[in-house]
Amino acid sequence: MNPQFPTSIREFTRAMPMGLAVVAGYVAAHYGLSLLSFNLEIARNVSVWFLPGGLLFGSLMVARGRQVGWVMAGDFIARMIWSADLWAVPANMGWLTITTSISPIVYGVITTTLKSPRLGAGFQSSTAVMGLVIGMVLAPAIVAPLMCLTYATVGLFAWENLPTLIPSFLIGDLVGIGTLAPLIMALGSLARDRSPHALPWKAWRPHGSVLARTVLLPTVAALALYAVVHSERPEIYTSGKFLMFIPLTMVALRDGWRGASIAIVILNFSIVLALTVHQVPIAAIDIQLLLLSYSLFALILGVVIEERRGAEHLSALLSAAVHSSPNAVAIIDLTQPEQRLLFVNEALTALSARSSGALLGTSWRDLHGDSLDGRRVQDGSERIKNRQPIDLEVRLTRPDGQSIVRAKGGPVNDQKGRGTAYLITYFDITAEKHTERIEREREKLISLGHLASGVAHELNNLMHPIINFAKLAEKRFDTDPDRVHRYHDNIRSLGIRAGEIVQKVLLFARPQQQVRGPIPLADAVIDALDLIRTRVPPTVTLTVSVPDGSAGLARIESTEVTQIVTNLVLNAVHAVPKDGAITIAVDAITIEPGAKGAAVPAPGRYLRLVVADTGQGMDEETRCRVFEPFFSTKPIGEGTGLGLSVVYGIVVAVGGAITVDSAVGTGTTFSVFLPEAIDDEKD
Amino acid sequence: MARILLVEDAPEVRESIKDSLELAGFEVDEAPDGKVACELLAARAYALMITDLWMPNLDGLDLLKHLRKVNPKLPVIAISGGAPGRAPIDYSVALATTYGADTVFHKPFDNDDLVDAVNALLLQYAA
Repeated sequence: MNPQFPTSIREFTRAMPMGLAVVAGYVAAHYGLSLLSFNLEIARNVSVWFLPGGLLFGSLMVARGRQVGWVMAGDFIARMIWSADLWAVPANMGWLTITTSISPIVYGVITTTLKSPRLGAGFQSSTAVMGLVIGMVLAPAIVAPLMCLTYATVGLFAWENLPTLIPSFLIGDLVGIGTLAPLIMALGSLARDRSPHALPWKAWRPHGSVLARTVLLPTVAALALYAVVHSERPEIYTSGKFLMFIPLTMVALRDGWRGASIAIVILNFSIVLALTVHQVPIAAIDIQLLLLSYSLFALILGVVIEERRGAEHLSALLSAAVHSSPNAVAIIDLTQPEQRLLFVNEALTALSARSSGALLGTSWRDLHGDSLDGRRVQDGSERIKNRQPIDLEVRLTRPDGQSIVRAKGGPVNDQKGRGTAYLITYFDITAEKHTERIEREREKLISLGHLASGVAHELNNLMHPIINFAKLAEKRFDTDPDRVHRYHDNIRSLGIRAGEIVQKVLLFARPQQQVRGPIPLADAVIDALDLIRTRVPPTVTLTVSVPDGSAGLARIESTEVTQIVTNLVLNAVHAVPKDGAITIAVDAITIEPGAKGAAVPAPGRYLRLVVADTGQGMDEETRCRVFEPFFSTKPIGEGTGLGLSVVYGIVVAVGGAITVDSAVGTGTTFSVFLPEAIDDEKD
Repeated sequence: MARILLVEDAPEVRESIKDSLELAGFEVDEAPDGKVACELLAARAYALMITDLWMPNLDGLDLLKHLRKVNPKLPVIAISGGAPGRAPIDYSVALATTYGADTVFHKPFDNDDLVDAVNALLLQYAA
């Protein structure tokens, strides 16, 4: 985030109050810290004096936009005040100005770079904190030597002191920054953290136990150190100081880098206080290094822990989400050929009425074990083996029955692209299938309603002449015997026609749940063709493409096949001109999931009977109504208009589908799809 | 000799009605659908028209509407066998009378009753 400088006077004046507040606050804090660290003798030696560096670094990392500018201005002003006050050397004001401005500028550049989007760092992300740890080392490494050099240049200390002073300044600066900056950043991030991996504010907000850990632990530790020091047993101190890592570790593990930040500050301050009070003659650099190591260690550990925790949190969330998904989910292990279940969620155990213990480790195919969909499950298994997606409707067997489900699945690919697992989601469609069946029945009833009124109409048209011809025959008996004969013939044939209509109605209205033995479709079609070959005019070319032997079995009666073939062929005969062509073919076809098209049957394996003609074709309106009972384009007196509706009724009753492809001038193709009966179910 | 136009698509029904009407002394022109009926109406004068209601190529109702534009004074008897498909019988009756049929006969009926109705209507209209 680069500092945004006001682009107009008005913006500037509007930002002024906020900016001035920032500056004032910053100056006060800076002055206060400097006072504190300067007046503690040991603090000066330990160079906690460099706390203002921490204040600057931390504030720059927290500041956004314009605030960065205000912070830098505040720091500059504070340093001016402090330097002028401290050294009271007006003659060196020029040099002092230069030296004082080095820190804010260097820090400003470094923090701005660290926060830039290109580096991917908003300081909220703990990855960014790692980058900041590096920045924290980098900034003083640049500033400290420069400061030393400039001070020496203005005669504030001698050149020969530089080799000892530079490391001292450097480490001091690091301690100052390492102690205070993370704390400021932690507090700032808590106010506005949006990283998905950060611990939520609520979890961290200082309540009893957190405060206890972050405040008391380090305090106790410091007091312990003090006691150690007080014992004037330097050898205990030498190793004892490393015990301080223990409370820091505990806090970092528990509360991440934010808790560690508070703990670092408290520990470091406590140590400095303890040592000051006791006037311990310990080399400054020794203590500096100690405090620095505490800071860096706790920060890094805290960041790592928080990242881990965030990932675990996410992982737990994902796991819970899948577990509680309303759709049944199964994960299959692809490393073995049995395709065993690796994971099942609650919805799946509920759907299959089996416990996860019973399911895990068994093959997913057992879920569909005794169902009638052996072939579909087989196909699915093949596709899973080849890591292809599946989308099929199958029955799921339960101890107490069956459900109908839609299984949609795909391979689970890791980063490298190879899938060792497969995910299937089951959608329970039993209710929908039930509704579908009811809809079909309802439609059938509606068409039965049509059928009933159609039948009524047809029968009325047959009964009327029967009744009246009988009467007229009597009247004409003496005067016109030929007519009488004709009337009697008519009565007979009308009666027969009435009977035929009743037959067809019964065929159409047949109940659906009849069990039919599977028969070889090809043979049945050939037999049917033999029956009606004579009704096809010799000038019409009839092509039959039916493989011998079995193209497969279908659950349908041979009389029904005869009905279908007869009606479709006669329809074609009516449609073609004298020299037209009719083609009849039987084959097997698999409908893929996701196949498009009107009235395409559900995915699966079917036997297909195709009757195509090169006749006049149908327009869209006719095509839509072609299966309606009594809808007929034939001239009056030819046919009842029931033929195709009978075909439709049979096809629906055996669970198949029928499609019509037609256009005016190009002919018509009827395709009848009959579900293939699986061999192993032959009875 | 009154001439009657008989519009009916089922051939046997048409034949039986025609024969009954001829036995009663009427001259009968036949039309298998409304279209032919319109042509005939335009060509000749009829004393009465008998028409079925549900036919292809201009069904009975359309025919009635057309007739009422062309020749509002012609008596009409509608005959109905029930409607294949959608409309219940009452509906077609209501429509028929709205569109100007004088009476409606439901198949199957005795043709003699139809003849009586024809006579009654002709008398009524002559008066």
